[in-house]
Amino acid sequence: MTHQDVVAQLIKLVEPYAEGRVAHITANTGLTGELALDSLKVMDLITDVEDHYEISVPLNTLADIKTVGDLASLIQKHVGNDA
Amino acid sequence: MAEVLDYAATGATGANFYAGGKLVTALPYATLRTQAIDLAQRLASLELPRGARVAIVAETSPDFLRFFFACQYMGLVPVAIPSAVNLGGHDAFVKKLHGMLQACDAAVAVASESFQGFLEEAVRGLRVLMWGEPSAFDGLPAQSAPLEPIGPDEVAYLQFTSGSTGAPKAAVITERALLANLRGSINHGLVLREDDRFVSWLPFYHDMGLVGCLLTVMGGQRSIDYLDTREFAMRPRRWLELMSQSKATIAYSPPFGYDMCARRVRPGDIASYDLSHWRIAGIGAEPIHPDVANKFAELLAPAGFDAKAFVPSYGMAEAALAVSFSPLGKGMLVDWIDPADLSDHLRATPVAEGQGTAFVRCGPVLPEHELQIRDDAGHVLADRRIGKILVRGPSVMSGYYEQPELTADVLDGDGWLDTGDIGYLVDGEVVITGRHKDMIIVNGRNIWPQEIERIVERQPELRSQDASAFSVPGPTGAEIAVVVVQCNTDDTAVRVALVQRIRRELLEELGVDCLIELVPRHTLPRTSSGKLSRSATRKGYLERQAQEQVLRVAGSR
Repeated sequence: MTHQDVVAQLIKLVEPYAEGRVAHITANTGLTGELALDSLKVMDLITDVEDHYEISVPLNTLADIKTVGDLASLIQKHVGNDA
Repeated sequence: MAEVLDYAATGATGANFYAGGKLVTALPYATLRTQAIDLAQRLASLELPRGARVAIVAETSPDFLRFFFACQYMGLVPVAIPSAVNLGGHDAFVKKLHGMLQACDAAVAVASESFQGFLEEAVRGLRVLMWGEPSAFDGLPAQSAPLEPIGPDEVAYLQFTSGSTGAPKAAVITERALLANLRGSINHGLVLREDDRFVSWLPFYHDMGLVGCLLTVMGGQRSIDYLDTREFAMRPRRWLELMSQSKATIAYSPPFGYDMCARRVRPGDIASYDLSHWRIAGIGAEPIHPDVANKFAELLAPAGFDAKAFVPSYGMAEAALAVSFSPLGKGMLVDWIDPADLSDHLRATPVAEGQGTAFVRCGPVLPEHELQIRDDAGHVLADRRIGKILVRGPSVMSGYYEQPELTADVLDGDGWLDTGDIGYLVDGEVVITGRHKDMIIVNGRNIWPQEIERIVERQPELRSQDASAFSVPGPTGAEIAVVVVQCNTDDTAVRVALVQRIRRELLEELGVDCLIELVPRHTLPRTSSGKLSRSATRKGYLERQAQEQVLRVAGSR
């Protein structure tokens, strides 16, 4: 699974929460500043991510996640570890 | 509290920790007592002065209980530190942690392995004697000298509450105050029964989580099943599953927890729940909109949930926790009030059901305690007259830790605590209508407008007094935070970048999304003394919104 694959899948998962704020979401899109994900939306998104990839993302690790690409990298790390 | 645990340890009850729908750790109070005493003897090797503060980054884990009670057994003061980290909020979390460790002058700080990185950064420049993982403290040599537990007039714990100045402040609660509160809750509020059993997803750094769903439960020698807050936030149904499975009789939540369940529970799952044992569905900690509770009750009635189980409750960290409980078995008693009389004459004039504004009665003040409604001049008001709510009694805090000025603002020489809430009394029951402080509550988080304004005004292109924050009702009735920002640029790219940066920093630090409106410089309304007026800004904002609404409707024709 390449980084590009995860980014593409993640964009699909993020889109419903973006509420059309950004026309083209990319790896560089900011999850907070641009997509305005508040704490509840973050929880919902992480639930979707965990269900999709069957991983468990410790909430602490989100502290260093700013963009879609950052989150994709974090997912890759967990998919690698849990597999 | 050591005696309370000693007593609870003689029975078979305890705390159970669940994750992923499974029991992870069962911690009978007898085991907790043994572990806490062992840890206390190890902490004794640090030779800390009596009353030194032990900061515990509070996750829902047995370690929190061990450290909290080890402190009780040896005269140290535990302080629960929030463990909630926001997306992208690394720096903001470290700063907050640093501020809290400094504010309570922590001698020791403990956190689970996953928080060590934050802790390492946060302790820099502070006089923290020892910090680390729980296992580091378990490795200390055990001392055999007899332990001297916290006495009635010593401090049992410090409870951080959010402050408008940005500097954290902590309520000081003595053991005597805590025990008075537990007595009131156990004997008069909840009237605990032999067969009661609790479930909680509330974090231990929240007063309702710590006092209501740990210390009160132990004081009543009842068992409790804990669900991690994170798991509840992600999958609220786990709360209902656990309630069903353990046939729990008591659970508390702020309204937003009931709301999350009502919005997220899958209709197909309802038949699989059994909520028929739930006799006290406590609700409090933020304004209670009857609609939210009613929706929950209606949805879960087929699972045996009884709307009469709702117990609206009023309390605050400054009074240990509980101030009043609505009478049991009656459900929510709603007062319908004339909104014009409320705002123009500060009178709660009853109107027919369904007309006017609905407020929930929160019951009579606990025995041994007093509650008064006063006007701005300090005169005690009659029933159904709206004013500041003041409370006096044995549960009230000694003050804010090392903050005599902040303490004097809320606590007078006669022991009356100004709660910061406004409301009225009717038939001896208190009804909360608002807050005379401007606190904004979004998704269960208490946020001061000053915090939002400070984050906005620190942007390099802005100055002090360029932002004014407040809340407005959103489409579903829940509060939405709004900040009106004045800036002097028309450049779209610059404006977009500014708004995005503000939004990002607000989310990283506070975890809430804010509606951000940019207006030209010199447009924010001021009071006669030259200070920004939040209420006038809010009024202007709502007028602009209404006007836009009219234009939109007109434009669509």
